[in-house]
Amino acid sequence: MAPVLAFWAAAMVVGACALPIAFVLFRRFPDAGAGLAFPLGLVLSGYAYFVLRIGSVLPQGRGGAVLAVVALVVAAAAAAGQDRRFRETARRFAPGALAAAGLFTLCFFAYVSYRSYVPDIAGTEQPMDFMYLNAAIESPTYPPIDPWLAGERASYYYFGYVQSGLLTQVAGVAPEEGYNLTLAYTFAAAATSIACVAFAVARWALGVRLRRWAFVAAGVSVGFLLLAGSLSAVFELAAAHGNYNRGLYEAFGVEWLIPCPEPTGNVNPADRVNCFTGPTEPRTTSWYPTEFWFWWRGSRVIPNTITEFPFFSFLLGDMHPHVMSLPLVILSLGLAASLWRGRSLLAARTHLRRPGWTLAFGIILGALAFQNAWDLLTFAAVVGAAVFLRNLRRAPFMQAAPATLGYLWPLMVLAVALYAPWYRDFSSQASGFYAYVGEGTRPAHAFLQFGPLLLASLMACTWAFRRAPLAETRNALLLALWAPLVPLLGWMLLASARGDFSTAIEQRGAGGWVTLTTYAVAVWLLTGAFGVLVRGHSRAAVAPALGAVGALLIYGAELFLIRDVFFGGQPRLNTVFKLTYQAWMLLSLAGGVALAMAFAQARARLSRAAWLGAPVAVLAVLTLVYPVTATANRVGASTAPTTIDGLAYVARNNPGEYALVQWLRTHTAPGDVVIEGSGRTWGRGQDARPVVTNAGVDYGESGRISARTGRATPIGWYFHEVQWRGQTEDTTRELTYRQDLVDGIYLATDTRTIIPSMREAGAEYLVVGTIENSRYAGLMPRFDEVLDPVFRMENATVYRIPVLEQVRTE
Amino acid sequence: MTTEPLQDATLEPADDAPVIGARPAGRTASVPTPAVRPGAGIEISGAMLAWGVLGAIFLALRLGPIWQAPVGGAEWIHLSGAWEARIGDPDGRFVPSLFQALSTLVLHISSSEVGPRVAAFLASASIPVALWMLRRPLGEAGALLALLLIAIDAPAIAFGASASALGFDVPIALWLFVLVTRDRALPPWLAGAAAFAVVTAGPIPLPLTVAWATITLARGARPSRDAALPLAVGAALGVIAASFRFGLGFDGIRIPALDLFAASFEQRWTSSTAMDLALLYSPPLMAAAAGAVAHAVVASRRGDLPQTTVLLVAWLVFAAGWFLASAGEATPAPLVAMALPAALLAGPALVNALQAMLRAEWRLARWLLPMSGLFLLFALAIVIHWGQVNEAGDVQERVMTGLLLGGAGVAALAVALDRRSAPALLALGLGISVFPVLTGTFGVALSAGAEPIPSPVSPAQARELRDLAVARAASQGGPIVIHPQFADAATWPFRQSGDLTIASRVPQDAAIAVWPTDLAPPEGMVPVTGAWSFARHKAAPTTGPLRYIRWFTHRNAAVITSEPAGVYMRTSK
Repeated sequence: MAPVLAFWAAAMVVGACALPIAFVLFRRFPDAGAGLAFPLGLVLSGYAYFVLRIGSVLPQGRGGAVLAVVALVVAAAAAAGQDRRFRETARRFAPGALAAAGLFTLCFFAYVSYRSYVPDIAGTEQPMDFMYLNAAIESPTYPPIDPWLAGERASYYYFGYVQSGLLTQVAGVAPEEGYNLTLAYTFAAAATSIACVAFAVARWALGVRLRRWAFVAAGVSVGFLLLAGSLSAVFELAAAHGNYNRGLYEAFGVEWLIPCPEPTGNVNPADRVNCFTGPTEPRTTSWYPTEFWFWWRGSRVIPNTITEFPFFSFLLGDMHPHVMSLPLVILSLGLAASLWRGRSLLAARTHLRRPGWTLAFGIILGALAFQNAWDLLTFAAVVGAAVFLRNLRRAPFMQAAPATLGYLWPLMVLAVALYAPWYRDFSSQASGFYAYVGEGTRPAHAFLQFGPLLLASLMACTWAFRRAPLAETRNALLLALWAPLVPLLGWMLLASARGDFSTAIEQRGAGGWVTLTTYAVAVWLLTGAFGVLVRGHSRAAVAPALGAVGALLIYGAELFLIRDVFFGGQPRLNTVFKLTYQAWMLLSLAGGVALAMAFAQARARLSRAAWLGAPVAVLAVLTLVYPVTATANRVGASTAPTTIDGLAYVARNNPGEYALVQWLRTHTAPGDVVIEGSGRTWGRGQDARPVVTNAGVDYGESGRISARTGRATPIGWYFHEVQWRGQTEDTTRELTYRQDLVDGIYLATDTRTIIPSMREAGAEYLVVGTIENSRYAGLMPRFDEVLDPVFRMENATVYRIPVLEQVRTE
Repeated sequence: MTTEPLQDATLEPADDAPVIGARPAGRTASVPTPAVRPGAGIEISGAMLAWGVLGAIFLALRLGPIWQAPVGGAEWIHLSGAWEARIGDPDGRFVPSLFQALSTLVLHISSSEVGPRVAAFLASASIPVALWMLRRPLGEAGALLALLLIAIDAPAIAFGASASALGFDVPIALWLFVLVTRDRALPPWLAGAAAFAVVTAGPIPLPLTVAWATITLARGARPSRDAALPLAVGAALGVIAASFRFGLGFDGIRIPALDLFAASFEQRWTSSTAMDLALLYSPPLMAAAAGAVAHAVVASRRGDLPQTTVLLVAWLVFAAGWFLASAGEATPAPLVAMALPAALLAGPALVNALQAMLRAEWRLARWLLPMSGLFLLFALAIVIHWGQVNEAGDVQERVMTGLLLGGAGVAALAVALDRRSAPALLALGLGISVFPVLTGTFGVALSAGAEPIPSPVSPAQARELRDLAVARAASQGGPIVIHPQFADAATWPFRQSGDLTIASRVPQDAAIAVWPTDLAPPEGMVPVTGAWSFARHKAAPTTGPLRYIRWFTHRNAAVITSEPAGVYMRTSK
């Protein structure tokens, strides 16, 4: 419990320290931005840590992390000193700050409770996440090293790990605890952030009379963002209890839950592809589906894509950049809302008047790319649009446009310049922008995945169109037609330019076109609603605006794709994944506010159309089937004692290896290189020489020592390094060379070659543990002959190159 | 010689001195001056006498450790670093603080640890002067009591004459406080020197620096260019000097204060954790400081909180933050950092409390407090017995102890509930506090072998081992071989021993080898009889209350462990 409390306290301290800055940036929010103080404090102190480590001002270790928080305190004091209304704001918004702290605490401990049942850092890409967390903590220099490629710096968007490492160090907890507690922090910070923004947006929209509904908006937004799941879970639940209707299941595109035909001689193998191949009845032994990881299918509803959503992320427990960026992205949305609500014209000279604001904005916007590169374009565009709309309220277009550009370009330059050291090492996976040519998403899949959120967001139309003059509505809707048409035209042009146009039309299929049209209509209606409200200078325009952007992202993911390493097999896998994840955030916010606005109208008898919110609410409730059943499934399958230690399973199952990891942590320096198995499996060939029997290394236990200690090894997960550094000939040659070098050490027939090879790899230590014993079984040399065994327990040994040096003493 | 009663001095803290950059306060406090009567010769006031006595106590308590204390804790690491720098091979243990640079210089004159310790002692000797200069903001009696509290604080004593890289930290922190509470702007040279000193010191002045910066910024005060320039120049010079390691070569950008702050989390400066040491040595001081803070909070609600107190509270808060963050780390530094603002806050507060105690209604208290104390003593006697046998007694004894403690509590509560008698409770508090504080004070000041600070220590035996090895190598030829496990620990005791070979496999021509006992003995060598050790650890008795009680009553009951080392000699060449 002590690590949990320490981490919680560290998070609270960082959040509290950021309050004076939040008060300045989000003064127009009903809680003065108290709910956003958590991500704000962490991003500012994380940036201070990153940049001061690079400048060698802060040393490695806990002390450096604590000093970064002290830097935040000093910055906050400066902000409070410059803020004439600080005392008044602090007094007035104390209840908001307390509410934010309460919500954070509730969510934090709730997630910790869940995670304590499934704390293992194992499987999927969790070892990779753990490796980056340890790199952020242990790296002797900054920018941090890549522990899976000794001698090289990390080439990934790793700012989330820097922030996680900061909290882990400040709290003084072990990285394997910090990993799980960071997930809890992210869950809680995302909850307080979206509650803060949704509450503000709803309060602005609803006015004084209906303002109590703002609480509903905050609650529904939190629910949509962090609890809602795919509607496919409803069918999963029914199917688990043997209730499936073939027609209904096929209509909703969940054929995979219908049992496959028996594999007899008459059955065509193709008939067993998209159906349930698991055990026949019963599929469950409880009220929830007990099938192992049934909930995984909820994140793969649209074939050949990933349709992950936040609840799935937290359920799975991968500490990926797109998960850790949730609070930051919502912070940027809060920033956009705050900028939009301001009154004065924003222009280049504004930066001179408020350099502190500019610096804070630059850090936040720049962090979007550093934390999850996909977020930069989308959310920087939202901020830019907010500035432009604000300026449009103050000045005509011809004045507002240059003023906006004048305000934004220094900000963007600063946002990039502040993170220049990271850009220097970062190699983007993206290698082109393409029109998507392939099968479109089936309408049923689109409904299961995005239906409830999209419909909830569309409820904003009932507010926009209820009293607007018909002519104004018509004009706004006509103008809004451009919103879906421009991307469509772009898609047509791109497809034509590559000569794929007719293929693209054909391959999309009837269902794909229906889905595309549905998305287009949603974009159109939400943009139209936004247009009506903006023209009426209504403060309710934010919800449809965010909904329109969310819908546009889903629509865009149907039309375009970013080329990456998956282009050959699953071309739009990442594009759909990343864009719809962003859309989920936007639609959660917009949907929560819009639904609350609809309820408020319905209760106040302002609009009959608002009663459409009732069926949408029913759908919203159905989205909770996923979290309830999936959580029960995951927790129910756990038999180990509850703990928050992500390596407790190693200590239980393999004490020698666990002790080896602890020994390396305490007895080696952070910059030391440790040789561990490359992950390739070797056996004896026909001529008795060693041959590779399995070259697959990713997603397994290879690279485990470096991942768990932060000590670099010559080569870790091969394919991931290719992803991070680009699939070039030079890269693959270098990676293969390193694999051969490491394997050469473990397969050495002449022990005299071991030390020269280790020196070539820059390593002083070599590990023989479970993986090495299994991957090089019977092939390893007698390391004791040439190396010193410095640690040994059970089947785990650490060897060191013998030390022989002369030192002066006078 | 005549003396004046202490009451003549200003007992109420005349605390209105603003911090740098703020407007000077309008009123001035009455600073007592020695009463000089014409024709009566030199008269020494009670206050002066008190300053003299307390100053002497302060110095006396720090004098012994200069010669007696074994090299240990942070001092061991930093002296090793200074020695490496002295011979031209500075490593990671050399953090270029001003004191480290001076230590290195002094080690050129003498290879003993006494030289650097004397330098630290001389710097510490300025602390009574700094406190004397704080009479105005703290009040004469407040400053005196603050000096007393610092003088008897065991961790502060351990640092006061220790040659760690933090040797100048405590005086720098106190002098910095003197400077920032001056009611006049600092001359540029002094501001620059202060910035230089802070940057090149260790981490103990950091909480004050941050507190001062935070308060100044939070007040919206921006230092003028004239004020900021010397600070910036001084700090820059400090960074440059440290980055060039005071002439030993460039080592990247180094800020010793930050480096040593980080090192306080990473290096092993004690065998016990900061929390353990706090439980052993600091509860009375911290309780007094907590009372002072509570009093300050009440005063702030009335709106009459002096700026100096605000700064002290902020200083204490930042130091306490450091302490909490490093509660589980092996460092005593945050304890010392906390002790300074705690003493400065508690001094004036204790004066007020003592006055209130003297004014209190004693009719009830004169019976109940001794009764409470007596009950406590009886209870303590039983608990001490439990501590000695390391086992709580039977039910009868427990009930008895419970009744005694309950009786003591009820008697104290009865006094507390009577508003006019309540201040008299301070007498009981002082009575309870004085013994644990003084035993710790004298334990550290007299370098008692079982005292948990400093620890780990380099035993005198390590130097004997060095003499043996050097003699053997000289007589037989061949190198002295030391296993890498002992390489760092050997730096200090093996200074001036010629060339050493650090090796994990004993070379054939080795004359003598120092080897871990858990490894196989080197081939062809015979062990040198004796229980050799390179490090000795003194554990804090905080594994349970009985253990603590036992240690408290019988200091030598402390658990002392040695890291064994095997010593092997080649039988023939």
